This record gives sequence, C-alpha cells and structure tokens, in this order.
Amino acid sequence: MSVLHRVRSKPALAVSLVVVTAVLGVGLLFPVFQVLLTALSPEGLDAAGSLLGSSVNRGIVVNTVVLGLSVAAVGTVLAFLFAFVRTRLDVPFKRVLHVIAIVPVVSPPFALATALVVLFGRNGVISQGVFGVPYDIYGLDGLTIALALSFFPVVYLTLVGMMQRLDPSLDEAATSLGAGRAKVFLTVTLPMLLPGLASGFLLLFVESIADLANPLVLGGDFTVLSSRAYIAITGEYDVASGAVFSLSLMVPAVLVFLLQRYWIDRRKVFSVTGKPSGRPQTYRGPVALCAYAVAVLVALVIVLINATILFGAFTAVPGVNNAFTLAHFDFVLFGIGSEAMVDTTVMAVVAAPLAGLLGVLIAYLVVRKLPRVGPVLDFVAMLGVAVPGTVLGIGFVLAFRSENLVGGVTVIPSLVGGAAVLGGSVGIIVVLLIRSMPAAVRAGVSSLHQIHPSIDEASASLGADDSTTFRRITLPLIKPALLAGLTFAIARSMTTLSPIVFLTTPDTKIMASQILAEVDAGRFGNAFAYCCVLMTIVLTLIGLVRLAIRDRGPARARAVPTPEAPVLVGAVKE
Amino acid sequence: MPDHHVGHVVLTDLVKRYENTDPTARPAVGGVSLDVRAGEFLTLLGPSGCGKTTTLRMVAGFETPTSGTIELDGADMLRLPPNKRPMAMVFQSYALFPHLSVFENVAYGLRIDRTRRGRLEESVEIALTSMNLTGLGERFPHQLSGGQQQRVALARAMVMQPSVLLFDEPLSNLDAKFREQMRREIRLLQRRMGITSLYVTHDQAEAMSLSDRIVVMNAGKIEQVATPTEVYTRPASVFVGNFIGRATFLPVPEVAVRDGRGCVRVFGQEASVATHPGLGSGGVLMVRPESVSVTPTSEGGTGIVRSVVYLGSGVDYEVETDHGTVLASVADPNVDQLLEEGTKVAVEFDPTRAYLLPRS
Repeated sequence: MSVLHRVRSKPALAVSLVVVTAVLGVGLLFPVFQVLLTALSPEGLDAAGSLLGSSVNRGIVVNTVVLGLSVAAVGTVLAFLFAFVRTRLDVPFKRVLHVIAIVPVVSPPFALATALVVLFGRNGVISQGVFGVPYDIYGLDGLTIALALSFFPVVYLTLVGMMQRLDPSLDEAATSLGAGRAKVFLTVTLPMLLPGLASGFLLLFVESIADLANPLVLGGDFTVLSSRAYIAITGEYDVASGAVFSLSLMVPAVLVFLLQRYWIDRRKVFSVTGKPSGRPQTYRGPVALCAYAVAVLVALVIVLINATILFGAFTAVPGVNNAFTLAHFDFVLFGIGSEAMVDTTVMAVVAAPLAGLLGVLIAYLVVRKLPRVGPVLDFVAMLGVAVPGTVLGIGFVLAFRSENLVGGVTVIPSLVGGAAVLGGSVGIIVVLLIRSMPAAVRAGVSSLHQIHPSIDEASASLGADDSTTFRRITLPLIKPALLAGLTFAIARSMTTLSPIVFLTTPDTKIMASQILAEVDAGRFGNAFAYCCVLMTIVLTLIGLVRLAIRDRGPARARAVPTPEAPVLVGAVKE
Repeated sequence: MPDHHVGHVVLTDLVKRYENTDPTARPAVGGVSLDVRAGEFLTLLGPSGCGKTTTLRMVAGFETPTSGTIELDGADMLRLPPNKRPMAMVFQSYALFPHLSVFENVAYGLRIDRTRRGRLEESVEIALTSMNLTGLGERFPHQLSGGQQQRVALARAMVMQPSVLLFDEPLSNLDAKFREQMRREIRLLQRRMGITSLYVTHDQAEAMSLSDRIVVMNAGKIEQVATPTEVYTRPASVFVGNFIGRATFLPVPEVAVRDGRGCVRVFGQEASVATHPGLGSGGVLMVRPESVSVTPTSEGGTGIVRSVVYLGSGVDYEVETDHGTVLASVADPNVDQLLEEGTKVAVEFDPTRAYLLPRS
C-alpha cells in the first residue's frame, strides 16, 4: 500500500505527517541548506580556500582535532572507570559516586569552565592561593578537563547500561574454562564493551569539537573552529567564513552520526544470546583499588567545582574578595538580570512540551505507521542533534533574518534580528524545539519497540481508530518515554547556547548568553548566581513535570527502559 | 576412553545461606550430602527455588558455601577458585562469547591452558565433529540456530576433558523437538566419554531419560537419591511421587503391615502392596494412572467418569470414587469404545505397581 493511499484514508495521519514535515523542513533542513549555499557561494569558496591555505587557519583545524581527541580519550577513560566501579566493584559509597558523576548533566555549559577559572586560573584560589604557582588553565589542558568532565556522564550511563546487560554467565563460562580475573576481563568483558567504548569515544570527539561555550570561556589563545566561526559572525560580520568554519565541523559530526547509526548500533544487536542469569562477579586487588581511588578523586573535583559555583554566587569577587554578599542574586533575580531568567524559562516552557509531544509523535509514525518512510523521518529528526549548534545558529541567521517571500507573499516572517517576530523569540523556540526533539524521538522509539504491536491491534479490533488508539493506549504506555523526553528537553532548552547565541536580540535575552557576557566582563559572581538559578529552575521544572505526569496504576508496572544514552549526548549538552 | 578413576565428587553437609537475608529464613541449601560416583550421570531435580542450581554453582565455585565441604577425588575444592577447578560448565543461556567465532569459542579454554596449545586445532576439530558442527567453525554465535549454539556450548566444555561436567538447565531454552534430540546426544556422548556429570533440571522427563541416578530436591534439602526406576516406583515421599510422573494418592487410614508389605482395601479390592519402610499405622496409597483400569458396569460400580481427555496415544479419565478422584490412563485406546462422562465404572488397580507411603 502506498504512502499516499495510506495517508488519504487516514486524515489524522496526514495532518501529523504534514506538521512534522513542516517543522523539520523549516526549522532544520532549510537553514542547513542555506549554510551550504553560502559556503558554496564565491565568498564562501574564498573562505574555504583560506581555511586550507593560511597557516593560522590550519592551526585552528589542528587545534580542533587535538582537542577532540584529547577530550575523547580522557572522557572515555573516565566514563569507563566510573562504570567499572559501579558495576564490578564491591566498595562503599557507590551510589554517591553515581549521583556525583551525573551532576554535570544538568549544569549549564559555563558553570564548570568558569569554576575552573576561579580555582585554577591566573589568580586561581587553588593554583595561586594554595600552591602559589602561577598556573594558567586557559588553553588545551583546561578545555580538556572542562569538556571531559561535562560530557563523560552520558557515556558513563551508556557503559553502565551495557555492563549491566552483559550476561554474567559469559564471565562464568570463561572462568569455568580456566581463565583468571584479568584474563576474563581482557578476553571477554573488554571486547564486548568495545562497540560502546568506540561510540563513546566518537561522540565525545564530536561533542567537544562542536562545543562553543567552553572555548569562549577557557580557550584563551587556543582557538578552535567553533569559536572561530562565532567570532567571524559576531565580531567580523563575515557570514561566509562563519558558514565555512561551522560546516567543517558538520562533516565529522554527521560522519560519526552515520557510523553510530549504521555500524555500531548494528553490532550491538547480537551481543546477547539466550537470557542473562546470575549476577556479575566483583573484582578485588590493587588494580580495583586504584580504579576506585581515581574515581573518588574525580568525584571530589566535581564536588569542588560545584561547591565553587555555589559559594562563588554568594561572594563579592570569587577568589579575590570572599566577603559574603547577596548582590549577585539580587541582580539575577530582581535586577536587570531577571529579564533573561524570565525569557529563558518562558521559552523553555513553551518549547519543551512541544518537543516532547512532537518527538513522541514522530516515534509513533516511525515505528508503527510508516515502515518505509519512517527511517527517513527518523534520520532527519536525529540530524537535529547531529548538526553542530553553530551550523544551525548561522543557518537561522541566513535563512530567517529577512522575511521569506514566495510570489510577493510573506510565507515566513523574519525570525532573527532586530525586526524579528516577537523579538526573535519564535526563532529561538523553533531552534530549541529542533535541538530537544531528538531525545524524545529516541525515547519514544525505544519504548514503542517494547510494546507489542498486537496491543495496538487489540485496540483497533475493539473499534478504536488510529488517533484514539494513540491517545488512549499508546500514549499512556509510553508515558515514561515522554517523561524522559521532556526532562531532556527542559534541561537542554534552559542551558543551550551555541545555536541561540546567534539569535538573541535586545528584546529576548537568554541566561546562557548572559552568563557568557558576565564571564567575559569578569563578573564571575553574577555568572555563578545565574548558574545556581538556572540549575534550580531546571530541577524545579523537571520535578513539576514528574509530578504532573507521574505514573499511576499499571503503566508503572510496565517499565519502559530509558532510551539508549549515546543519542542523547547531544540532546543534553552542547 | 572412559576413565572411571577420576571424577568422584563428595559433598558433605553443604549449606548456603545468602547474606542480607533473614537469618531465621530457610537457607537456599540446607545441608546437602552427596556421593557422586566417578563417571556417573547424576541429576539434581526439583521445583524452582529448591536449591539445585545453588548446589551446582557451589560445586563450580561461583557460590561460596556457608558451611560444608566439596571434594573431588579427595582434593578439597573449596580452596580452589572456579578457574582452577577441573570442571567445565554448560550454561542455561549457553554463554557463548558473541565476539568470537565458533572455533575460537571452543578453543578458548585450550588457549588458556598452555599445555594444550600444541594440539589445539586438532582438538577443536574433533570436538566440533563430535557435536556435528563440522564446517561451522568460522561462523559467529548469532549466525547459528538455538540447537547449534547449544552444541557449541557443549563442545566448548567437552574439549577441556574436565573431570566433571556441570550442566545448568542447558536444554530449557530449546524447542521441545530439539530438546529430545539433544537429550539423546548428551546421554550418548557422556556414556562414550565417561565424564562425571552433574546436571540440574526441573524437567522430570529430562531427568528420567538422562540420569544414572536422580537427586530429588525440595526446599533446600534432598528428598531422595535413587535410580530413575526407583524414584518412579518407590518414591521416598509424597512430594517425590507427585513431582515425578502423575499419581493419585488415596488416603488409607488403617494398614496392616506384614513382612514389609501392607494390606489395604481399596475400591472393594483387597490387596497386598509394597510399603515404604517408614510407614506407621496409616498412610497413603500411590497409584499411577496407567496401572488403574476402568470397566463400564451397569451395577455396583465403584466410580463415575467425570472427565474424558483424549490425547491420541492414550485417554485420561478422571473417576470419582469413595476414596476421592482417581486418575486412570488407558494407552492406545480403541476410539469406538471411549467412555463417556457420567459412565458408571468398576475401578481396579494393579497392586504390584502401587506403593504405600507414610502421610507427609
């Protein structure tokens, strides 16, 4: 049966397909296409030539790759270390370690970097104050620490999931065939985790080269492609160069996305034979103890950083004048700074539910309704996180600064810049939607795969049409997925920076870019106060959502596992 | 060549009490003593939670007993970690290494034991051939059917030539048809190699067809250790009689025991039946359905047919009698003479097949 026929016979399906296609087309494909067009224009080709030709620019490319590799290496090791401690060691405070390890997921993009500057910067509380060394954290080392600590939690969660799903009888089989602990680990456990480690490495690489927030705060002289693109657009008004710089980030990002989707995910399919039984054995001895010690140390650093954020928000000039003050909070909550707080929250509250619903709708179409077109839809929706934020932001500037006319009629009004509709907030909300939706799609797809199609068929055979089945049966069953999607959407909408920083106008301020401004001006106290308020709002909103759509009754019994974490890396942080 | 001098396993008063459980709760394994003869095929049989798997895992070394000893050919096994015990285990989930080919799966243990590396390829090929896996060495586990995966798991354990083979419900993930086939193959192979085998299952047909002796377990304790024929015809308890095969238990309030045989009067039939040594004054009479016969009668019947289940190879009748409901099974019935519900019948049982047990 052709799609057309199917669609014609079911109006609800047709409407949802049109809505989804319109959102993805306008919010994602059109802007990215504009970036491509600009990059391929004469000015763009010139800029591309200089990217390859000038030694400064070549240095930037090298910097970017080096940064990506070092973050990927450090982050993967950290993630594995924490996962190993959690799943294979019998030690105290494992739950505490777990909670500390996932704290960076909800922190705003600058919090970590700014705290590192206060602690280890030129006048760092620790580097200068405790050790008396004029250590300079700006550059590759600082960036690697900040990015690795920011991004490793999601890889950690993936690895924990994988390690818990490994059939313990595999270890036992190897043991019963004569292998000792180390041998079992090297010949069975590690090879089984290889796809997870590889995909974690690749994701960390892509995330770290696409990140904009940290290079702006911690980069110093160490320029990377994303910060170069930002400067080209906002400082030099050179859109063509900006387009080229950001596109060069998109190539590895999309490649990794494809690799992840068509190679690694496929390899994971056959990692389980039979049904798992028993429980994994724990490791002891000096190596295990070392792993534990390192994990505890890293956890302490994370705690230290978060403590710095909290205390910094209450001190006059963090690290210099440590007098207690409420001035920063006064500024953020009641002063000029409160605009950003209100704007950001309002836009997140509008964007997140839309992203959650639309994502789940796409998942439903993909899994249940459109077996052939579905994968394409899924692919396009997931591009929303695969495309680097700078590309999307620049694309929006190119596509929607002026109104789009077809035959003299305004089809899409201006969404970006001074003349934008509602002070540019519509454009920002669309970007937030595009960036948050993939998490909801993934959550929805994986939970729909858990629900046997015969449940839908039972509903249909009892007389329900498609939309009734979706509302009354499917939606309640995938509520946990919707919840997960919404949670990620909120966290992301509140903390996202790189696409939005190109779109803010004097009328719409967002907290992430305000934090950037405060850090730039050296007002760390204000920045920390913003971070605290931001985290509080995120956690409050997530709490409210959980209260509002809390599981009641039988839906709870049917535990739908949280979606695969790797695809959510991009969904959580820039 | 069968070598009946290795593989003598002795379990003495083995107890396993899990940590974090109520100390007054019944232990998972509550004092199991067993003498597994060299070359014997011994099955631990029982309902889930009876402690059979825990016992097996203690022998393998994956669980540490709370108390008791495990000896293999006189050597204390508890001092050895699982990888140093000369045993190999076949798992319920097969536990094939998904990242290794069939060949490498089978070669895994040989590669670890340096003394065996010399004839590795030859050993693996022989193992694969003996399990009908010739030509599949390059495949990966996910490319095999469930039955083939099971064979690889067996080959992987066999190739180690262990003193003891341990099986943890290895056939429970297979289709019913394959299961019977694998059952025969495991039995043949074990006979040929003469390796002591400790086999855990909850499937009584599996236990009956495979074992030299069966250990029936319940609630962490051994109910009976005996040959398949003994556990079927002379169960040590009502539990065993019930768990193995089908049986009707008729209460017999008064029994006169003479020369080890009990005189009972059931269905108006006076009979002398074999008797459990621990029988007191009253007991229960176990009659297997296939030793009960029912004959339609117009007058003075002892039962009424309450349900008829036709199975093709036989027919089951549930017959209501003065002693309770009795199950009768007629093999290869004449379909024209099947009894109908409500038919009055005379019930008779074969006293030589019945067994008198103490009330439990």
